[in-house]
Amino acid sequence: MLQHWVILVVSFGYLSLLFAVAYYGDKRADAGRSIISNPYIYTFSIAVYCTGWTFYGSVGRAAATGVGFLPVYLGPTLAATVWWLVLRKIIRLSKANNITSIADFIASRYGKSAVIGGLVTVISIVGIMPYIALQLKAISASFNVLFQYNSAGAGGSGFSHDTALYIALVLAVFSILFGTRHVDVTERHEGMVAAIAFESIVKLLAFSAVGIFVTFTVFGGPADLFQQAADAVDTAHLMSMDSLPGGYAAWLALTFISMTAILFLPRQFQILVVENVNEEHVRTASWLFPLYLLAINLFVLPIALGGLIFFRVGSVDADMFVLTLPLRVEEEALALFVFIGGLSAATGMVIVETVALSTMLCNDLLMPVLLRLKLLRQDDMGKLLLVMRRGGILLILLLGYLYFRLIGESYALVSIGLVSFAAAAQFAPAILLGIYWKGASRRGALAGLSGGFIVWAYTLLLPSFARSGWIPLSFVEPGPFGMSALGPYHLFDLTAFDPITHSVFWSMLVNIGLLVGVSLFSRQEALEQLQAAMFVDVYKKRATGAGDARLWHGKTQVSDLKGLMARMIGPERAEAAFLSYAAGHPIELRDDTQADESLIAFMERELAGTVGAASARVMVSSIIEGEALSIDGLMKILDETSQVIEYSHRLEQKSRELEAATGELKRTNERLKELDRMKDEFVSTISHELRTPLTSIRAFSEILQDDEDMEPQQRQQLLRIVVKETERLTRLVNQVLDFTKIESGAYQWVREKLDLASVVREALAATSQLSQNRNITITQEAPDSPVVVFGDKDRLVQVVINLLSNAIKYCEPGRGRVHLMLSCNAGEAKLEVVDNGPGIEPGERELIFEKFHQFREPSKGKPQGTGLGLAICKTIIENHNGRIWVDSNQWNGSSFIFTIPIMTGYRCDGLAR
Amino acid sequence: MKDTKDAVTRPRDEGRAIPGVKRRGERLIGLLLAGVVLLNFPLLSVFNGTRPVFGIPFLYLYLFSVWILIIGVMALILRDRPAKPAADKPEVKE
Repeated sequence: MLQHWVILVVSFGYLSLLFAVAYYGDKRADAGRSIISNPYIYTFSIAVYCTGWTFYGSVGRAAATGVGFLPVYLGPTLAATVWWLVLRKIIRLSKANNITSIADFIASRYGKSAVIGGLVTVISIVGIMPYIALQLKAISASFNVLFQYNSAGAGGSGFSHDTALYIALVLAVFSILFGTRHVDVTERHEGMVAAIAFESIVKLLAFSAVGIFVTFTVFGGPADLFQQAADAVDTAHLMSMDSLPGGYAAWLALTFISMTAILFLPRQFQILVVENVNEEHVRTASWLFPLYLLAINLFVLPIALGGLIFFRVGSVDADMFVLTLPLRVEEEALALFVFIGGLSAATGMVIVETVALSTMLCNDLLMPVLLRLKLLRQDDMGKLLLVMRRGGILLILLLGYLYFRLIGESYALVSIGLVSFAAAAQFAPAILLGIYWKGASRRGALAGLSGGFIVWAYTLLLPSFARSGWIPLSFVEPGPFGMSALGPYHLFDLTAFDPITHSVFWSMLVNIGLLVGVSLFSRQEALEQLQAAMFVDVYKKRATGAGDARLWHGKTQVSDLKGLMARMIGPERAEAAFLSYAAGHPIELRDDTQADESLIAFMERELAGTVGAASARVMVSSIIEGEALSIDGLMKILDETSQVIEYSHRLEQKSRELEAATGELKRTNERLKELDRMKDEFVSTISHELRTPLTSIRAFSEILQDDEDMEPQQRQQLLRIVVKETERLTRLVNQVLDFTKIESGAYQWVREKLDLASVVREALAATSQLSQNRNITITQEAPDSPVVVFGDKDRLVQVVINLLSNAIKYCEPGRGRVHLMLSCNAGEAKLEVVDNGPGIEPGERELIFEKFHQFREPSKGKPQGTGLGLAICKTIIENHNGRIWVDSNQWNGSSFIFTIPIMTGYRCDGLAR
Repeated sequence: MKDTKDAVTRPRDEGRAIPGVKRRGERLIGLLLAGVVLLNFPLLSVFNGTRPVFGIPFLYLYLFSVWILIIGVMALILRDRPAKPAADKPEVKE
């Protein structure tokens, strides 16, 4: 038997344990050895998303709608896929601006507007009210289940309400202890985060324990469970989409609002953004958190089915199956553990939510109002802040309790929670458009947020009041004044959706429509533009807040600023802030000096960490003489920024052009160097080639001149050598002239229609003397029809002569054979000059066509040609669009082959086409 | 000359990965879109059968499988750190 006092002692014992964890976390943080600075604690703390809703409500939802409990967890999983992009940007922005809450964030984005901050706060508090009621309901219901089990029949609804009130009060005390123990309200709540991470582990363990117990101990594994469920009760509809009210549209809507809720519920924003230690942690949390969600949902359906099998339909609240199942089989220890898990889930949510909401309430609603009314002239603002926050926590919990009293019994847990989700979704357009679209304006955000909020309140909040009897039921059905077109569940007679989807559709339509529409047709103020640019381009900006400085146009004394800071955040921290500023700047901070713009901006940012951006702005401007916001300053910044951007664009462009030009120059230089080297080579080779015949001519001429008694026969012989050498010299000079002419492109080609066979004949005639002298056999074959080409006859003859004389020269006299073979194939004329000379090594075959490359016969040593002949041939053939190359042949000699295309309009048989 | 230059530079440009962050962002957005499609009408209606597999209703099996798949792919995409120049920023010690 579970005694009442046991339950109470265990509950308080557990809350004390949580508190101990928080205390330890704070101590470690103070000592500079944070325990929450790792991605796993971060992930577990995000799991504050799983509240009493998940712990108790999911099972009830699954028992009624089958898969309907899942979109609430699939949505965050999908959202987590882009956390690395979106969440990281929000974190970066929040750190740069000392953001303390989601209201602060939105207000900051839209020109530090106090109105927007206040509106977001109101939406949050009203919107989250049902969610807190849900937790109170979950805890009190679980208490009642345990108590009733103990003393069957005791406890009615009155008892239940009292329980909820006590719970609300106890939770308020704990939230105050967790969230607002310190006077320095600006620090992150490390201890609280540690406690939340701890309770996330407890609730996962507790839920898994009961899941495993039901599935494997009460039943014989999942298959057995599903089989029994199918046999015992009508569960077929739970296994499909059919039991989800609203069908696929509702599925989509639920997924969508859960995607936004995971980021924009105030407590999620608090944990994900404000309490984030290192944005790198997002990397792990992005996939680990969805894994947590999957784990905690694994046993929802088995428990729901188990409950349906055990209990008659309607006899036990399906929301409490998690607890009633272990009790039914008298596993009291397990039941107590489950109860603690549920308590964990609900208290965790309440603590973070109330801390987040009270911060918003204080910074973004109360402070600006009090500042406006000039009611704040107290010396120690820090204490007042703390009182306001503590009062805020109590107020928020009491509001939740009130809502619970109103609608408590009539709704299931999940239905209550979804109302809050739909409210949180209203923040999504203002934030997401705000950080990616500079054009989103303050007026647009104001219109979108209020429009969306009004539609939400009309379509979801008011109907829930109607159920409680505050408003006549006829307001909901058929609608106000009996007009069904105004019915909150079917505006304009749109009956296609269930209430949630219906509300999400209309509120998002109005919200996004107004935000975009009004933004497009309104002008932004200077500060708005600056903030918008800073939010959208946070990754591009180098130093945060640097641009803010020049916005402060007026002047104030350092002592005034110091006084303000001391009042707000306490003298010690104010002193520390001034010291840290002085450390980074070369100025002396005497009390009577004028505070410069950058000091004022720095202090405004410090202050924002405590009271929010909007309030900080108002406070600082209150002590500054002259105009706070300088348009000139803003224009200067904008102008400067655009100039810098323009300048850097131009620089980039220039440097790219330079790079290209450098590359071009480098290539040209290489080419020039190569040409220069070739020219040097050419000159030296030519000189060398000229010297050889000149030397012999001179030598023999001198002999002839000196030796007058020489015999005529010998004289004759010497003269022959001189003539021969002169001929060689002439040939060489001619070739050089030819070559340079052709190479430089100065040569005038005389092209005509001609038969290649006649070219061959002429060349043969010209070399007949040479071949006879060396006793070389020359044979030839050619097709019967003319091979018509369009070319320069003299040059082509020169090529053939060159090839022929080469072949003749290198053949052994007497045994040498040269064969000329003219053919035509596939539009190409081809001439082969085949000899049985020594042949050419494969490695040499490319080289011999280069200038001054002389073919050296190993045995003779002295080269026989000028080294230009083949180079000229190659140039000529290539000029005729042909190719020339050398190959080996069956006689072990070499074959010089060239091809040139035949004349256009002719065929290989010599006929015109 | 131009040809050889192209031949040298082209493979290098293709081989060098575009810096991690940009690709990672694209992949994550791709995963989000895939997830939205896989977990909604009409694909969901395709698997909206009641015939169980291993005793477990098929719709549930499908939903949880896609779920774990998304988590796995996400973990893969976010696995390694983007290559930062060593001199650029010292790693924050945790």
